[in-house]
Amino acid sequence: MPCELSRRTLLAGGGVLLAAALTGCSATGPRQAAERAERSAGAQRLREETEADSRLLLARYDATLATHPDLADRLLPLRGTVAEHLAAVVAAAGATTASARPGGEGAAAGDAGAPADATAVPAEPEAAVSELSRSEAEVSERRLVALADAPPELARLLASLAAAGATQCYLLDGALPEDEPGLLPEAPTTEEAT
Amino acid sequence: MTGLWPAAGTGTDVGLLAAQAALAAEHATVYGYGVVGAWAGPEVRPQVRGLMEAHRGQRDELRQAVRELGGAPVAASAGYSLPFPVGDVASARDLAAELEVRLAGAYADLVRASDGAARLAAARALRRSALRSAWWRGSGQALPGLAEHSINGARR
Repeated sequence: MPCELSRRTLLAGGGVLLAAALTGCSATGPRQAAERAERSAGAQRLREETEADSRLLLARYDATLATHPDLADRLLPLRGTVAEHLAAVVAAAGATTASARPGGEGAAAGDAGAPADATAVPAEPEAAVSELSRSEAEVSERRLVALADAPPELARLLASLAAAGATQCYLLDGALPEDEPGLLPEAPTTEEAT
Repeated sequence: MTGLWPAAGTGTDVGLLAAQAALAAEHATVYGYGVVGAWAGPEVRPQVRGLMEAHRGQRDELRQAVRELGGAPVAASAGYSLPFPVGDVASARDLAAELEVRLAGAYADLVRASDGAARLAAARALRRSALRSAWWRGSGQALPGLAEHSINGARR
């Protein structure tokens, strides 16, 4: 496989920088610097925080589902999305720092160890959903802020996670980001469409 | 849809290329919303108009960004091929969601290729596209903008 990547590939293919690193292409210049940045201690810390946030969110969904089983139809798909986020973050960490992460595999496995405060679920179902939405919004905002200092590939992942988190809020209780209050028009009447 | 990844003028750096690609994607999106407006039904016409205006605004911001990076903003294509046939309300709304999904990909790549205020602007645009796509579809993508994580082939 040739090491030379066209810019088209570079732009179109997610994770191409990383793929180049893993296939052993000799990288020079900016690309090499970017790869070093993805492996830096700061990036590693950021990935760990991102992973911890996803674990906490997952625990909150589980606590809410345990308290309100009737919400399962609504919440399980959204919980699934959070689980996908966690898997993506763990995979990114593993791909970037495989050798420096002895606990990587165990970390990938677990739903274990729900933090104590995740169990504080409001008794009223709609309040519990709103509480989840607030948690999603808080994490989404944190990721949007954090991507400023992240290396390129991690920034791209964080931006996607932040966008996904804002979408989760919207799907949970219709909440929009605080700085985009009028973003979406009134919901379309979908009855005619189906 | 053609023209999403155009050859990019004289620029050589990745940031300019990514900005041009996002601009081309906004051009395609504006065109696409024209098709959506023709088929999506009278009850969403005001919403489509609003979204078209919003994308024109984002397109103009990207033009400015490209100029600031020293490039000549890429022009819209004369025509675009749609990713699937559109001829009724349901397919028009699918197209609208698909336009936002594809645009999200361009903005995600622009996040990677930029820094500072430009990167934050791209991240917020990605978030807007994810929300608009969810508005049309009633559901979200797990990792909007990251085609390598797309399990349903949304980026055909």
